[in-house]
Amino acid sequence: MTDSEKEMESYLSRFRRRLPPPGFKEQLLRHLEERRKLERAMTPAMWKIAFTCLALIVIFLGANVFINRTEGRHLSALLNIKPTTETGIVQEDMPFIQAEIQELASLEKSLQILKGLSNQKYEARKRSIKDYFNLLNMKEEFNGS
Amino acid sequence: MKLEELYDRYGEKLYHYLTIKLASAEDAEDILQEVFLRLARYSIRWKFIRNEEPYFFRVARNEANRFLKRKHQDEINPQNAPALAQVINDSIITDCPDRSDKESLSLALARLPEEQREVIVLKFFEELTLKEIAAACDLSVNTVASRYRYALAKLKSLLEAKDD
Repeated sequence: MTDSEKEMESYLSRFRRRLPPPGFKEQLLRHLEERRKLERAMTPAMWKIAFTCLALIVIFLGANVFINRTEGRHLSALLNIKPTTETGIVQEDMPFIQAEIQELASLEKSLQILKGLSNQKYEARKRSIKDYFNLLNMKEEFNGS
Repeated sequence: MKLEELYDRYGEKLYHYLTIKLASAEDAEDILQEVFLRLARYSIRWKFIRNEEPYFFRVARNEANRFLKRKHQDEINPQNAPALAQVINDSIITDCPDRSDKESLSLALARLPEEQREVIVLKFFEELTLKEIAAACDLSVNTVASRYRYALAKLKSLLEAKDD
């Protein structure tokens, strides 16, 4: 070390740092305690992770729907399949299916009518057999007497 | 180590260093809070650190650099030397009765390049050794020693120029 450097060192050693203003320490520690209380609830890193996860979930769900639709459209175009509704029924077939449903409903109605008629017939037959036996009994009683 | 204990050991030194580094006592207080919060958050690491003091200065230095970067002001503007000199003048004391001595030194320090001023401040006001300064600034000891010598020479020339 040269003499001039030593001289400068001794000159600089005459100066010291000034202490912070009174009350600085208490103020700083109070602010720190307030900020630590806030941070304890949820640290910035935790907030970042939470927001990232949420954003990823939204992106994933959105992408899933988009990919499904696009893929369906591409496959339909490739295989020359008519576009389908969500139930998988070809849209163009819908009028025929509706007509068939109506036909089935009318058939069911007819079946119910037939069933009712058959029941009536059965009841009438049961009643006529009962009447026959009653007549037979009356005849025997008459002859016997 | 609790925050109060941490302040008692290093708080005043860190605050003084940050005041000169940021050329503002208000900014220094804000950044000191950030430094303490960061140190409190990662207090578990302290156990594995051999020499705490340079580590704490390094954290403070990084935090101050981040703050300056956010303000798009990587280095104190040389044109603002009188403002910085005022901050330095307010943050140092001397036993010397001549007040102009302190003002001259403040102005000379403000006119030094930032990396040289930092070495002088850490060596004389925060009482770090050259090895500790090297650890705090993430530099080799040789680089710090060379900056220190250049800083002393430049300070001398600046003070002499003032006297002339």
